[in-house]
Amino acid sequence: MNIEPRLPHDRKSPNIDSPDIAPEQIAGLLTRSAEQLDSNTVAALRRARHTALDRQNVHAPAFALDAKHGFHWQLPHTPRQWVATVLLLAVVVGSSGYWQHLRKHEMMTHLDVAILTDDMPMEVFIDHRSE
Amino acid sequence: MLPFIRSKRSIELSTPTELSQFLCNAERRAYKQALFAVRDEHAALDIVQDSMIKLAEKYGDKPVKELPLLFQRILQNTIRDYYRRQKVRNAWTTLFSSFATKSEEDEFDPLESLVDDDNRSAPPLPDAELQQKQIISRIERALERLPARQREAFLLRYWEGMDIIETAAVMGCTEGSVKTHCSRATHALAAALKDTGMELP
Repeated sequence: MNIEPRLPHDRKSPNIDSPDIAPEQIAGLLTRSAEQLDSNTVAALRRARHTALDRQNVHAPAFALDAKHGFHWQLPHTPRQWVATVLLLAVVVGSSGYWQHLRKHEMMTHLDVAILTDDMPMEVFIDHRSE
Repeated sequence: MLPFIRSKRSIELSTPTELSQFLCNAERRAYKQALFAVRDEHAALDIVQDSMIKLAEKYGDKPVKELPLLFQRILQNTIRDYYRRQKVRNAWTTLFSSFATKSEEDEFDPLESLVDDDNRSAPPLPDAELQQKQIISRIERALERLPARQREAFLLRYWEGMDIIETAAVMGCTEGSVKTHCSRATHALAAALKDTGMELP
């Protein structure tokens, strides 16, 4: 297992910090000591790591677009996403049908009013067959 | 931003694999740091686990480059929280523990390191590995005896490889304080090793 520490960017010469010892040497020995941990401790650390990874907070978008291959839809993966997609489609289709129904009803109302008030446009009385 | 569009920035965020790799590389040094600070193996393991969980839960999706600094910040804060809890818990026992004598293990006997070449009955010299273990043990003991801030600065700077600015950010102090702590820690360690009569390999 590689547990080598990162090298500092601005590490001074050990002689400046101390005339007697080099901190790098101490760091090297500490690294060696960390590599020689007993198996129980290593196992406990591994368990701790797995516990932490299970709780990792990942913000994964539900309907992600693949940025590498341009814009194309990805299919929903979970049942919940499928249900949401079907509900969305049902709402869109239902709204469109209702709007069409309202528009047709409004046209019929205008026509009825025109017949009752004898206010029909001239085009209605033209015989198109003679043309 | 629309929720279903993956931004370019999110691609740079750490994945579970990268976080796992980072924790795998950092966990042993983190355990040692905690052990130097609290001198209790179980407490050190708890501190490391708490720190890992906090990192994963709160900053698990941060860019990989930010993880070392964040993890060290969390680790040091968790160690300080442990100190606070211990202080409250031991409020009544501190008075009695101050009368306790030093354990025999802490005392170094210089006769142990003397070599008697004329004495043929003397046991053979320890091999290099054993000698190295003894040196590591002395260093770790000296590190444990350092003041907390000096030890923190020394380990972050020279073991974790952080620069002065990063170390100051983790410790929450000025860059000048970091230099002072590092210098004092280095001199204290040198003095401690010189007292034991040991030289670094």
